[in-house]
Amino acid sequence: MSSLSSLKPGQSAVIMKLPADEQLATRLREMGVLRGTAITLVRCAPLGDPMEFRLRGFDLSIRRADAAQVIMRLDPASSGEAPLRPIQPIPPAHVVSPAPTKTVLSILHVQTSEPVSESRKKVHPKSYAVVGNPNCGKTTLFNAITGLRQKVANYPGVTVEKKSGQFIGQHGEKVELLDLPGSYSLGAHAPDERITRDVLLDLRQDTPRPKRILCVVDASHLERNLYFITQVLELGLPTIIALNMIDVAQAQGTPVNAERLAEELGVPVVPVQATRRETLLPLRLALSRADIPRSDWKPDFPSAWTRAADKVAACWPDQVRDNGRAPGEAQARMKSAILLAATDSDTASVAAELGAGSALSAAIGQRAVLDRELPEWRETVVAQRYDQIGKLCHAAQGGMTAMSDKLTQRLDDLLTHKAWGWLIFFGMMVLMFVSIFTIASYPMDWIEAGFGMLSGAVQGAMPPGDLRDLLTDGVIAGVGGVVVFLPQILILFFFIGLLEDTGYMARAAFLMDRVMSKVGLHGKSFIPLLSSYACAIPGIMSARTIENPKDRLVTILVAPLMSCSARLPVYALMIAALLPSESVWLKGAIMMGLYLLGTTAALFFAWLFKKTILRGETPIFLMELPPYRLPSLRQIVAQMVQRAGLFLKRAGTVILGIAIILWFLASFPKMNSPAGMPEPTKTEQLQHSYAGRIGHALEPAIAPLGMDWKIGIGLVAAQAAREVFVGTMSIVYNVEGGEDQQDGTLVETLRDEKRPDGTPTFTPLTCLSILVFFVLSMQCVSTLAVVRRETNSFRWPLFQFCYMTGTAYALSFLVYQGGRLMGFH
Amino acid sequence: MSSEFQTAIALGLVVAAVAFFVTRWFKARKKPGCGGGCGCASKKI
Repeated sequence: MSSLSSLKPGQSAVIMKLPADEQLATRLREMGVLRGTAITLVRCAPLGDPMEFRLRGFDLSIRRADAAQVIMRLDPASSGEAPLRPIQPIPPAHVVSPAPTKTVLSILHVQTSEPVSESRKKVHPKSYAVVGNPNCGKTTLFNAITGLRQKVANYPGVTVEKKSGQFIGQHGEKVELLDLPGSYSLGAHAPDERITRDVLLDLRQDTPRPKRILCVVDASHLERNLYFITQVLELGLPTIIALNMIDVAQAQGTPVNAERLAEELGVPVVPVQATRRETLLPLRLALSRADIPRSDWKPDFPSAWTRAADKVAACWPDQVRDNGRAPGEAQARMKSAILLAATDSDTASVAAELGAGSALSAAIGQRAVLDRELPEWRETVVAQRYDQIGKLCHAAQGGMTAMSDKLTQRLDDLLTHKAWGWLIFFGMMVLMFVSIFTIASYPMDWIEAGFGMLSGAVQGAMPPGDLRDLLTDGVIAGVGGVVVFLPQILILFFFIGLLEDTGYMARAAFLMDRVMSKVGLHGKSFIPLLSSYACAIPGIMSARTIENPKDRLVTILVAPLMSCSARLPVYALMIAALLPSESVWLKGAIMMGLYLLGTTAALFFAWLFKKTILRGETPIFLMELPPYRLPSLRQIVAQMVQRAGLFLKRAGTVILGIAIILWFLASFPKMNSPAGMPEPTKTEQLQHSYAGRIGHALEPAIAPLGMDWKIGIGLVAAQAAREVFVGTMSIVYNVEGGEDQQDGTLVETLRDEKRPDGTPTFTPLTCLSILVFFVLSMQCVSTLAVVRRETNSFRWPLFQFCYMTGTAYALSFLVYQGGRLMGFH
Repeated sequence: MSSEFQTAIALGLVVAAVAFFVTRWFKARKKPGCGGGCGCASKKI
């Protein structure tokens, strides 16, 4: 017998023993890695780590060091994949149809737990918690039913916070849906999973537990999905199961008989395809029903475990069991089971989260009893559930097991190949950044011309005065200067949406995991870091999928180093000023270099923090690799439209407000020249203004970076939001230049700008220094506010601001002064 | 439109912009989050 890490790609094995590390063992068990489980090594990542295994019809990514702790026996019977069978002709009874009549029949098959007449008397809104495994299509379904547009993508862990929405039911009543983060188990290891557990167990002060549950099940991964769903059914609440992705299940040769599953579980099972709205009518009708049954499905646990759980439940504080929110007993039993199954090191924190009180000592006592009466009870309990789920699946799928997705296998062979994988990865990055410059240049020219015409029209229509100056030099220059970059931002989001929707993002995490583990980061950190390319805020939020608080904090601290879309306008402006006529390939390469600089800095600081202030073991990494899917163009366009709306809203509110205030600061106080003296020049007026004074006060600090006092004004304004720097430059140079500069673009104005000694202000070194500063500095108040909320402390956002801005200053200094020493200018 | 009148309106707009940010800051204190500018998950529906 040897360890899983010694398997070669294509070899199969049977699990013999799980790791001694109880935390790792618990996670593996819940994902279905149990003694006797057949498992196949599909491939290793190009850098040798992590390893991709196939078991129970899905692909699981595990780090080599963790796999080395799992003992296995080679399965000589199968040198290929774990037991797969060819597609069988589908018996007529198993053909799944989303037709409404069939679904309604399946609902009528099951008994309701409360009389229809009585439930109809109750006047309360129908509210459902939408739960299920990560990446099973909960949010897609939620969006399709409610008409909302919450973010969806083809990788686990996109939803990290509860979201509510409504739709009008069959009888004109409001039905509320609460979309909860995906979870593999009610045991809840990560903060996002805890949100789901706490809502379902009525532990949250801010959210009353929904009266009903809508379980979303990925029909193509039925066995693994049912592990969590059967736990939810045990809570005894009225439940409907939406059997999603029935088309995928059918295509892989494992169609699910929804009626049979409904009979077995005792709740309605409605087949749907969340991406096809025409299949959702039966589900909408089901959700509108007054009488939703509760499941009486119970796993046949060993009597020793049942006794222990009952004894702990009996000690649970009375207010939990008698809180009037039925069924309190089922809740107490589930909480007891979670507490009993918690690892020794987690017991105290789990007890506190569940409000165990006196039940904690009972749980510890019962564990000792279980250790005596039922050795290896932890594994036995999970295995028992999986055994019964296996029988359920056999009944619902006619004993057929999943064919592996050949397309996914072939694509993975190419996209995670040692050489091709990296080439394709970097090729896609280059394509994205070059597209940002090439395709976007046309609409950018149109927008720029449009704002120029608007400015000219205002100047022609109004007499000279402060209001005219405010409109042309402040509002139009400031807002227009930022809005012009909208096409580039949309192209960035188009590519990000495409990569997320196809499932490539999870592969990118798979490719990069070795690098992540070298710097001590969790493999799951890669998704928050990638999300931060769009905006650091959702990136920081999605760090909630990371279980370990230290790893989560490291991810939060380094996420803003990834270049967000707000930096894009600054990059584009400075690159255009740096290289006015060079090819888009060179501009694209520099843009990519800036993104790489940010990423490298993030990895470096993650390594540094893990070695110093947030020291800890390299964390466990278990990630499910989703199958590739065709991207939904409608979904991507919808996200781009949403992003454009948010960007324009920001331009019309925050950036407009800052532009107005900046114009005031750059125009007042007015400089009055004594009688007989000539009028002050625009430059003298700007120097005399509040903004000029701020810039001059800052100049001694930023002069070593090659920046003058006007750039200093931009840096101060950019503290609110990075893209404001561009608008500020527009305002400062328009205010200073006046009407004679209206004809030139901002880039031309910057290139013509001179220092008092006649040398150009925006030399290549200055542009590079500004670029480096913007890559590394912390300049977003909103991000700091979210870090404060997520860490519940002022200390960490302050630390983040200091380390990022300090590094930005030091590196800009090195670039500028080092460049000068080497003879550049 | 006289120059003085233009100045008065321009300064009025500046005051409105400052009031907007002050109000926004107070709202953000009550309900912390990104402020709604980025489409992140913190904004409740």
